[in-house]
Amino acid sequence: MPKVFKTTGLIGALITILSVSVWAAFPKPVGYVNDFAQVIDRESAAKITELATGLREDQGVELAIVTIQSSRPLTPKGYATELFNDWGIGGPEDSGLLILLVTDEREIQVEVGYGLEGVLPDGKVGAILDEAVIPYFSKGEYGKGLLGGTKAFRAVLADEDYETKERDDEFLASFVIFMIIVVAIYLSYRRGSKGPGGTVFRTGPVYPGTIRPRRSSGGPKRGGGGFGGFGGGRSGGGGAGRKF
Amino acid sequence: MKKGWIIAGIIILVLAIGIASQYNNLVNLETNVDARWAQVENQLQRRADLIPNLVNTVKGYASHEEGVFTEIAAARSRLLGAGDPSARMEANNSLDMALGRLLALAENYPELKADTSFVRLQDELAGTENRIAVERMRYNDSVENWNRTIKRFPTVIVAGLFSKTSRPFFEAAESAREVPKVEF
Repeated sequence: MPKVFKTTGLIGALITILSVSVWAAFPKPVGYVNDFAQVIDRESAAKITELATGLREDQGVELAIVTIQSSRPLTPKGYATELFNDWGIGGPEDSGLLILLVTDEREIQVEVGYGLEGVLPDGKVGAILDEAVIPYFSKGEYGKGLLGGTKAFRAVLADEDYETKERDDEFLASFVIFMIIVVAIYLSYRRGSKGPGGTVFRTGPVYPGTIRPRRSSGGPKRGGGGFGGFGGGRSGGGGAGRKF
Repeated sequence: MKKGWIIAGIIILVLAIGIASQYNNLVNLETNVDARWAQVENQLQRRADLIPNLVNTVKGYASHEEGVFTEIAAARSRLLGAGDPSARMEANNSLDMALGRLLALAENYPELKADTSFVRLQDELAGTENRIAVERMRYNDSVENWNRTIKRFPTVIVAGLFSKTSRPFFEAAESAREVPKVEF
């Protein structure tokens, strides 16, 4: 009898997962700059990508710039929050930042990951938008405005470092797990039973929302070079927005 | 005869395992609801902490609008004093309304609207409203899941056995649907 219930529960869970994924039909990220509305000029896009790559390598902060035409049926802020969590911008320390431009509504929304709320309180985000972004936007220069915002955010985050901490913790944790597995296999061998194969070590954890597998194994370490997808970062509606 | 006992034993064992797994599932769901509510409380508290600063800034420009200030102070202390979730939700809704009036008031004072610290506070407040909205949604999702689970067969039996009851949703007040926005 309980087996039947378990199956029902499983099917229920499956249906829930399916319906959620159908509802959240977000585009997949193509890089740090996701110009879906096609309003960013090439030069600015290249500069933003360069800055974002630097942010990730030096500060461990993941920045995503997204432009869309409309956020319907969600509000721009609601869209930003959902998209942030769907993509998982910011990695294990939730050190992510999403700048969302909705062209039809003429609105910009910045979503700040949990990990950055301390350095980027909403008031500061609003001030950055007023000073570095909106002046360009009111002239219709979206690319320059987003570049200005990226520069300003990078300046604020210049002294932050989310990478080292993560790496240390991660190294320690994976080392402990590694030792436990080694001991377990050693013990099972001694008892003459068949231990699990060596493949166990090669599989890294699966991160929902990761688009492409990361280069390094064993978790979202930030390697140098190109865009390796976001994964794991969360936010809860922090940040600020402006209509222009 | 012996066979009968063994079968009865197996049936009891299977039932016990079934109840145990259902119960554990319920514990998980209920803990989730509580955790979500704690997040809502965090954000409500955060907003309550912002309000004195906001009120003081507005007072600097519009000191004679006493009515709105007392209303906010009353709603705020009601929120902080409210014990159980449903009382807090109610107090929060009246605070929402009072805050809406305070922000609408700013429209009449151009210097206040241009004040940098007021703009900052308004951003903080809007951000907190957004956070409350997000946490409220997550809380309501967990409540929905919980309420549905404890009403469904066979969980309803286990839920009744351990007297688990449904939880209230956090409905937003009509006036609070519109999150205050800073426009230029």
